[in-house]
Formats: sequence, structure tokens, C-alpha cells
Amino acid sequence: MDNQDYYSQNSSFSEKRWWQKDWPYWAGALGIALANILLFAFSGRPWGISSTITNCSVKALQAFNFQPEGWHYFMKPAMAAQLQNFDLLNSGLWVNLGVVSGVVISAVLMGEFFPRKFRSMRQILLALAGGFLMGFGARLAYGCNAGALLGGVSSMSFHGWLFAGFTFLGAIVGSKLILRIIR
Amino acid sequence: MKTLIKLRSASFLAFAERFILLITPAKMGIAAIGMLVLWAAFQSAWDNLVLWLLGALLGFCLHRARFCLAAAFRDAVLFRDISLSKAMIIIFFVSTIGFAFIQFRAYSLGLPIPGNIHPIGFHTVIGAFIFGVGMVLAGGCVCSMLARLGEGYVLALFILLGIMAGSLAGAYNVGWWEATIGSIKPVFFPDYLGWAGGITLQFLALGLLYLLCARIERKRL
Repeated sequence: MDNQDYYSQNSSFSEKRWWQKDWPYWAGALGIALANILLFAFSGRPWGISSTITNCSVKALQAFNFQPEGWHYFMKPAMAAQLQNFDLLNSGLWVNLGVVSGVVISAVLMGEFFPRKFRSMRQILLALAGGFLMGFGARLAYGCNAGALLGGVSSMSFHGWLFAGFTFLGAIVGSKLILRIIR
Repeated sequence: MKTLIKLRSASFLAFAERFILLITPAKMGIAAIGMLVLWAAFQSAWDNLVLWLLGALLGFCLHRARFCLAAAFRDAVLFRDISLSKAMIIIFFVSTIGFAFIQFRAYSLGLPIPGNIHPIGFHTVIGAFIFGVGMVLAGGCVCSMLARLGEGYVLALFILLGIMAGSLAGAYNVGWWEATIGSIKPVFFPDYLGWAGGITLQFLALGLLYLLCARIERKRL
């Protein structure tokens, strides 16, 4: 009995089917880069998340009769065009729905898809605050980490490199902050 | 004959029981959502289906390799662990090559150059800094938030809510920054150095980034 338990514990890792195994970082990196290139070739825009979220939020606001079209951000022709040509299932939304679906498929295959509840109010507050800062910073810098970092650096635009450098500095400050919050 | 029927029904029951246990309600819900999405995509246009599939490839690789750009920065800072940072550099390297092909093709056809090329200004610096702080506070970057949504973390919904609110506030605020401090027009490397020069600069910068990561790791010991 003891031997069997030891054996099953030891071989359970190797008994994972091939569609359940973790990938090494470089394999995922290659996959993400390839998918981003194909996306750029097909739709003309690299992967971006915060711009999609912004446009969807604006549409939600418009449903409540606010009028964000007058804001400076949307005076720019590119952004105004995005707003005009918006339909609920625009290109950015489809890609990001696909991303979530891809994660769901991968998680279900690995058996890791289950609701995970939060533990304390502090987690919610940290999540809301962190999310707010991320969204705010993403709009100021014209992109989030997928759009400005992955997309901007790959597009050989200097704003991506600036984004990388100052995100690093912000991460240093944020790490010190969170160590202080956790204590 | 009776025993045969009993045996058959017993094995059928066993099979049915295994089947029902295997297909939990969660999986049924997921399959239903998946079929709905595919049906909607097929209804409107094949384009959307391709976009969805490419997104699924992105999401699959994101989750399977446990990728997080926030962790790339955070681990390098806190634990001097640069494995994710190196993977990030691999993404930059491969994407640059692919994007450069697409951009050069557009340029040689006389079309405007596609890509995420945005204006630069003080707002970029401030925005990136704030993004870095928020990234560590929220425990993940924006793509990690999508990954956690897919894994079932309820907390990710709150991060999403925060991002929605913050995006609106930021979109409102960026006008002030650009009006007050101003911003310069986008800096696209090949504009200033030509295509060969721009790509060389990009690779040099990536090499420097890799050296920086290696230096961070070495200081650990």
C-alpha cells in the first residue's frame, strides 16, 4: 500500500497527458509573439487591451447619456474614428474575448478552472486601486502592457521603450509599497 | 438472458455515470458559451472568427506558460529572477522581426505605416510610472487579469472594474497633459535612421536590455 502511494505520488506528474503539461516560458513567448504577428498582419493593429476596455467603457457611458466624445482624447482622428466605427463586437473586443476563451480552454484542459473566491476586503480594495492606476496610466501613456509594451516596442516606436523603462521604475516603487502594505 | 441484460445495463449505467461526472455543469456552460461565440462569429463575419481564434491562441499560450509581464518586472525587482524577463525579450525580438516585415511592406506600397506608434511626452513617463505601481498593487498586469478571469478568479472582475474606471479618468485627463505640457510627435526609429538603422538600433537596445537583466541576476549572488 505504501509503495503504491509513493509510486502514484511520484508518477502523477509524469502521468499528465500532453495537453495538460505546463509549457516553458520560451515556448509561451514564441506562441504569443507568433499570434501577435498574425494578428497584426490580419487586422492591421497589434494586440491591445486597454484601448478595447476604454472604448467599451465609453460606450457604456454613452448608454447612460454621458458624452465623452468631447474629451480631448477622442478629438484625435484615430481615436474618434474608433469611436465612430465602433460596433459592440469590434476587432479589439473579439480578440480579447478570444484571449479569455483561450485561457478558459487551457484551464479546463488542465483541470484548473474553478471559481476562486477572495479572502478579504483588503484584496478587493487593492484590486480596485491597482486596476484604477493601471487604467489611468495606460490612457496617459497611450497603451497598456500589451499595447504599449509588446506592441509599441515591437513596432519600433520610442514610446514603447519609454513605457518599459518607467514601468520598471513604477514596479520598484510599487513593490516597496506593497511590502509595506502586507506587513 | 436476464443476466446478460443486467450486465449490459450495469455497464451502461457505469458509463452514463462516468459521463455525467465528467461533464460537469461548469464544462457544459463553457461549451455552451463557446458554441454561442462561434455561432455569433459565423453569423457576422469570418473575420471575427479569425480574430477570436488568434486571441484564443494568445490566451492559450499566456495561460499554459504562466506568463505575466507584471511578474517579469516584479520578480526581477523583488527576487532577482529574470526568467520571465528573458521570455519577454524573446517576445520583443521575434515580434520586431515580424512587425518590421509588415511595416516595411506597407511602407513600400506607399501606405501609412501600421503599428502602435504613439506620441511621446511627459504624460508617457507619468503614465508608465503609474501603470507600474498599479500593476504591482493589483498583483498582475492587464493580460494577467484576462488570464485570471479565464481561470475563475472573482478578484479579476474587480481589477477589470478598476481598469474601466481608470481608463475613463485617464482619457479625460490626458487632454490636460497634452495641452499644458505638450507632447512631441511619435518617434519611429526607421523615420530617423532608415530601415536598416532602425532595426539595428532595436536589436542593440534589446541586447542592452538582456545585459541589464543578466546584471540584475548576477547581483543576486
